[in-house]
Amino acid sequence: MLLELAQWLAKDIRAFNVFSYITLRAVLACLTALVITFLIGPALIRRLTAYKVGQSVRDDGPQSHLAKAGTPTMGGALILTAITITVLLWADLGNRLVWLVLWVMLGFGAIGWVDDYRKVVARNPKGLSVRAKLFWQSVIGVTAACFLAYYSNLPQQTAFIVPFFKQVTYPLGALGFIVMTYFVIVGTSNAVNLTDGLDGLAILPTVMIGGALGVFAYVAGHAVFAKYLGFPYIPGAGELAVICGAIAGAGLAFLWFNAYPAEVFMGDVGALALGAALGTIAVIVRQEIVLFIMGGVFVVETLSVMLQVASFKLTGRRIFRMAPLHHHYELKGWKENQVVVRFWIITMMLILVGLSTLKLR
Amino acid sequence: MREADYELVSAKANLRSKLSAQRGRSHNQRVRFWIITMMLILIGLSTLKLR
Repeated sequence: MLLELAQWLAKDIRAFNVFSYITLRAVLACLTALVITFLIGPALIRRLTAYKVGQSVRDDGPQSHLAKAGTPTMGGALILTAITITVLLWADLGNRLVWLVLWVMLGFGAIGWVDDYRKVVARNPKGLSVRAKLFWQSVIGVTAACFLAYYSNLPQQTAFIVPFFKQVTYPLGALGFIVMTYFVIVGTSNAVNLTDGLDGLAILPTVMIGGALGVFAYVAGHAVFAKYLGFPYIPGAGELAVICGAIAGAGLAFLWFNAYPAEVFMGDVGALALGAALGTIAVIVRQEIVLFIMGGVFVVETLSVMLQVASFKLTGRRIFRMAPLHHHYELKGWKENQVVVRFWIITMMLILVGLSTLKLR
Repeated sequence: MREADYELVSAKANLRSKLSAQRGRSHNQRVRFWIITMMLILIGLSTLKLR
């Protein structure tokens, strides 16, 4: 909305042309989302506490986590509100990719909301059934994939890009593209949700990956930079940098309240939505493998759960002391802060590796 | 590092953590200072374009 206003004002006052630059709007989106989250945050936490929307803690988990019982959850609603308002303010609303990412993010957020609501408000410990959750995730994921496949008119928009190699790309075809997009969106969403088990563990990697994807989106949407760096040029993708800025800003401000000891948890409403948004952006800018590298912590956490379940079912033995992986390290004697900050450091390193693919190809 | 050495280092780290918490420097505050720094970096970066 502000872009349209700035363009209208720029007819008389040329200085307003500065708002047409994506880079500036991305930074302003980040700061706007930060301010919105800081302003709404304390009131929302007070309200969630008053309504007793408190997290229930698994009784078979680490003993130190029992103290977390009753901490307000569903704080992800705060992040989603801030991102949505910010995107509506700063993004180009004529860009269909912006609307697609918003649709996926809010759709997954709605699934998480229903799950959280049933668990903590309706006191139904099962929440939304796994089957129902996966069904609705699939509906949104497939819809988004079909939308992207339908509107892709350049071969690179549906090709599988291998990082570190300039010439290695595989055309996926419409069906292959839809299947891959579905798995990336649903997989990333659930991976972030699994990682969200310690204070601040999921949100800062999400912020960092969001920021890095913003750089990729900017390059992919810029014909000159894309050609120079050997990237696939995706028309309109640059605008996603504004969404990435909003994700980074809202997430960073949320960390203010979510850092150990957390005053609020994001819950499924935040984790599922943010993961799905990152997955969608990565698919649009054709950087699925780079997302896989940068989100290594999410990947390893998910693999730890899969391996633990498979091993227990097949051999009756556990590989890890507890899954997901962060609980394994806690039971090994690491303090919660140590696990969280060390996983952050690993993510920073992985993001550097991911960013190096900008030039190393 | 031997297991016993590691436990000693870990115990010392826990003690440091408790002492710093008593002095009012909790992990929470540390992270909040990092966030403020990141915000200031963002404002700094915006001067690349805003001039």
